[in-house]
Amino acid sequence: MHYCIETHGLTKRYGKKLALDDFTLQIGRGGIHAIVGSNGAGKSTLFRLLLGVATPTSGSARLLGVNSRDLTPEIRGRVGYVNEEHTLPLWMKAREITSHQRSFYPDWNSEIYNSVIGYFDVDQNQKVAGLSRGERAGLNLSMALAQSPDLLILDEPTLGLDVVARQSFLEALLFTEGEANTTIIYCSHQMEEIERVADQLIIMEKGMLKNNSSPDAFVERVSYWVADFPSALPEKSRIPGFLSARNIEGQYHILVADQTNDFGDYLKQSGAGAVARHPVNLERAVNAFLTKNHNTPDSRA
Amino acid sequence: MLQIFKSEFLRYRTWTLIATLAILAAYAFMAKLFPFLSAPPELTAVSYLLLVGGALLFGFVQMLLHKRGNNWTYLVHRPLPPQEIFHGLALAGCVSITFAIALPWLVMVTGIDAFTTTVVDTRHYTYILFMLFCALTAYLVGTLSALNPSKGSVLLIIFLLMLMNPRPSNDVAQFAPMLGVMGILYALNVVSFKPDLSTHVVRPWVIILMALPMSYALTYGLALSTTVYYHAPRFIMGTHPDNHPVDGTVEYLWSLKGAERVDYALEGSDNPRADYYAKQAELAEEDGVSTSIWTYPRPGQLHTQDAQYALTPTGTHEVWQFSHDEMLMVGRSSVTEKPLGVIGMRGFLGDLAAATDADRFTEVPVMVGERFLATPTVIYQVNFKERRLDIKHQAPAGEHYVNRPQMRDNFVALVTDKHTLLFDPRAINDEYETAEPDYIIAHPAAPRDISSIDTYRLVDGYLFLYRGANLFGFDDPGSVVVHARLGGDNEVINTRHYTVQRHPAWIRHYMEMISPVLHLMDNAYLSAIEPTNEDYTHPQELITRQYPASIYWASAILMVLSALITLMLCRRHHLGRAQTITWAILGGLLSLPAVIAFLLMNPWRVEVRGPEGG
Amino acid sequence: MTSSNVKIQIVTGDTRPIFKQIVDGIRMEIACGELQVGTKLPSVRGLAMQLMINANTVAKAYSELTAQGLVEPRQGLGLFVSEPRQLLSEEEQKKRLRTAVSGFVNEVAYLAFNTDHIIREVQEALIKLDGAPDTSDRD
Repeated sequence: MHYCIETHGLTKRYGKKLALDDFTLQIGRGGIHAIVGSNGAGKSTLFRLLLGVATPTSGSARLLGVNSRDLTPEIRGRVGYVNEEHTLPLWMKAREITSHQRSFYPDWNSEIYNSVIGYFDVDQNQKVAGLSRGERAGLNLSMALAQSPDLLILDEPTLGLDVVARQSFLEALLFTEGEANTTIIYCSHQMEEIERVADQLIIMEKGMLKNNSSPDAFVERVSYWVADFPSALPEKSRIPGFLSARNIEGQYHILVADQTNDFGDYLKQSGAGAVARHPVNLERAVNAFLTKNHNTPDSRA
Repeated sequence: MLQIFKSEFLRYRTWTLIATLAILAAYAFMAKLFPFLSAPPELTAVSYLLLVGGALLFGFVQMLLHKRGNNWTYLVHRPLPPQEIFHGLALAGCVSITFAIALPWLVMVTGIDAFTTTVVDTRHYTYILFMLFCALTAYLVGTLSALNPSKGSVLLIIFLLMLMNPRPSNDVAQFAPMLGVMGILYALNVVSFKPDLSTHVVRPWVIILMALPMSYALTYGLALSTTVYYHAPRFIMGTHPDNHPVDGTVEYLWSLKGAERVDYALEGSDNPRADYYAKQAELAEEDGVSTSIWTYPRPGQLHTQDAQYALTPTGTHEVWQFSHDEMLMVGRSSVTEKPLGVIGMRGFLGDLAAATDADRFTEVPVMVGERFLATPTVIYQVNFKERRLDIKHQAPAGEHYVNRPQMRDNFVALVTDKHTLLFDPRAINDEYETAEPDYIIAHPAAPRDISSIDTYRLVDGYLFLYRGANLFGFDDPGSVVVHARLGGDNEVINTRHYTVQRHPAWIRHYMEMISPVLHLMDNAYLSAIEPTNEDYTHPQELITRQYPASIYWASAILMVLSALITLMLCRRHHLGRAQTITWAILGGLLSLPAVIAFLLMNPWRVEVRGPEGG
Repeated sequence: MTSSNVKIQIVTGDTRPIFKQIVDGIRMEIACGELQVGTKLPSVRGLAMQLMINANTVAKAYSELTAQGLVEPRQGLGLFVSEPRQLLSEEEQKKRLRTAVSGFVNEVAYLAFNTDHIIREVQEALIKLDGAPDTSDRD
């Protein structure tokens, strides 16, 4: 059993919509793997297929080496899943739900639970419905980590949390990542969090895998060019590795993928005057990938 | 499983408590309005509707709340097999329902039993089981409709019609089908409860268990559909026999009044006195005798099926109620609650302890009016003043009454399986005499084939007009006019066969046409559960019936066609070999309803498969 | 042998990866004398917790610092600020200097100071770094 998550040609079609398109991904053991994608990129579909609550149209998904369609209780016990709503039985008290949850997991680690819950101010006698979003997230994370899972899937866990709760959440997460030997799949829109925590950056777009490397290596892939074009920019589809271009006061700001410094020469050959290469940060690089096929209005207007 | 149960029960704890208290309060209120154990039939019907509707909705909503978005992943993604999760949820649901339904009833009945002298039988307690089983059946249909991707799951509520409609002939027939149905529904729920709810279950036994009741429910839907393409268009065109009666059919009689009916029934008669009778009928007082078959009570039957709660002689505070446990009439004062003794088959007795087995009734009598007790073979008259029980009438040897005594202005009618007996009301009301019938008229056909009898009182007796769509045999409508003379000599004036039918054969025998097998199964089940009800046709008889040839052809063609269509649909849906065979057999056997069931039990959109397959 | 905490700040959204920010930050602190030779650096985990970043990132930064010879591991004790020595090749050092100078020139080119003024300022700044001018010379 080599991979935590392994998909081959995974395709899921909902009616006419293709939610996942021939998606092949392998995630090994260990580390924090961030998954980034715009809404509707297929992240939730991927998790639903991995957890076996949906069936692929074609292709296969494996979780800890077991086909997702035949997950045994044993495998389910080794995979934690935390979603953005932090779904918990609203009618139960924090204390009740903890002992409820503990009964399912023989490897329950009370030490981890106590230290993680310590980051949050959760009243154990409070019903879940009465907890704040941040407290609920904390309770949920504490339980998910106390299960000592081999694999923990966090689907936008900090969505809607305030700054303090988000900070506590990250601290708690980093605290246990070092302690337990847990592989974490972290799905988020918060580029700042990803920059801080991710070992690997997985980018999804329109149901397809666009990147799977370390964040630094990913930033390396993207280069940012500013060029004066007295004439018009060449046809976008003809620019190699084209991601996005904006015209700001007569200068074209161009982001391209997988291009060397030769790209500057290409621009010059295409009629550009002064050409300069600028560094780019992670957020910009990711955004360029995600908005690649979106229509960005020219700022000329 | 227990953890899931605990959590889920906790969720509905408050609601269960509220529902239990609300029902108890409603019962207490009802007890103020009428004797609690004899609610009016309308109220019983409403309470059944609430019971079944509430349980169905509860089951549906309970599962829907888990099904929503992330809740489902939260529920299923844990180290427990899905079946165990379902057991936990279902157990919590069932316990909640049991609390809300059984507890209030138990409190009321135990209270009445302990603190009043009102007769409380075992059947009043076992009624809890009936209510509970009905509610749990509805609950399981509710959960199934939420869990199973089939769009027709809720049609399985048809099971309740089969459970609640007939009056089973014994406790086994009452409860065994209920347990069976609950078992089937539970099994269907368990196999439907899987991580991916959107996929259809393809195991052949599941297909059969679901398709069968669904098809059965669909026969009713198909029968209703005739309104759309047959009844409504004919109404609009003004050619529907209901608003445009067809001369020459036996049903034409419905549109006629009084003596016109006799006239019509005598049409074409070669009886020389036909005109005379038609004229006589014009002067006669009209009335009617019902031949519809009524199932007599059985020991231990559901108390809601009792025709009358008790005999309460006017001018007294006495209440005489029949105890199924004792098989005796038990008397008490409604004011002082003091026991007044019992009535056995041999008369009044001082108290319960004095009764011997010879005193106990062998059949459960039905109470008629203020002082009659009727069993299928004997009518008793109770004289409360003198504390006497007399036999008023005894059915002729080998005969039994098919319904209750019918009290009319000019006569009292008793209908046996062979004769109509007319009595002078005075003879019946006489306190002491055994009643002798004035007229004994043999039925021209079995009572179930007589749709009604019109009576015309002549100077020298009665004119009886029998009619029925099957009077002269299956699908052979006719009418018979009989002159019953005082003194016993009866003369058949005219028999008329009608060759014109009101509706075409395919409407008359619609059920048989669209699914002969389901029609047969339905009747086989019902006549086994309630053999005394002759409205249900024994399968033996169904098979020997002679239908119009077109019906045989139509049903055969439909069966073959259905088999082919299901086969084709299976191919289109890429179903496996076992499923295809199962469906093709179902299509061929159950005919048209199975085709619709297939559509309801499979996705409407066929997924285009990638080249590498699933 | 003192253990000191590191006062660096990291900024997300910067064009420099976080590990680079750590390397730069610690190198600066060593250069400024905030971190004395022999000072123990925080553990990987400790610094990761302090900065709220992935421990692997800190580990990567530390290995870069070790590669540059700024810190050295001691068996079972952790990382310590080492005696200044240069592990980079002359070629590499020249390259880095050129990069730094070109960035600097870019920044000051539009300022209204003449070249002498700028050179003087730079000189003063280098002298302020305790013995800094010497560090460019190899021992």
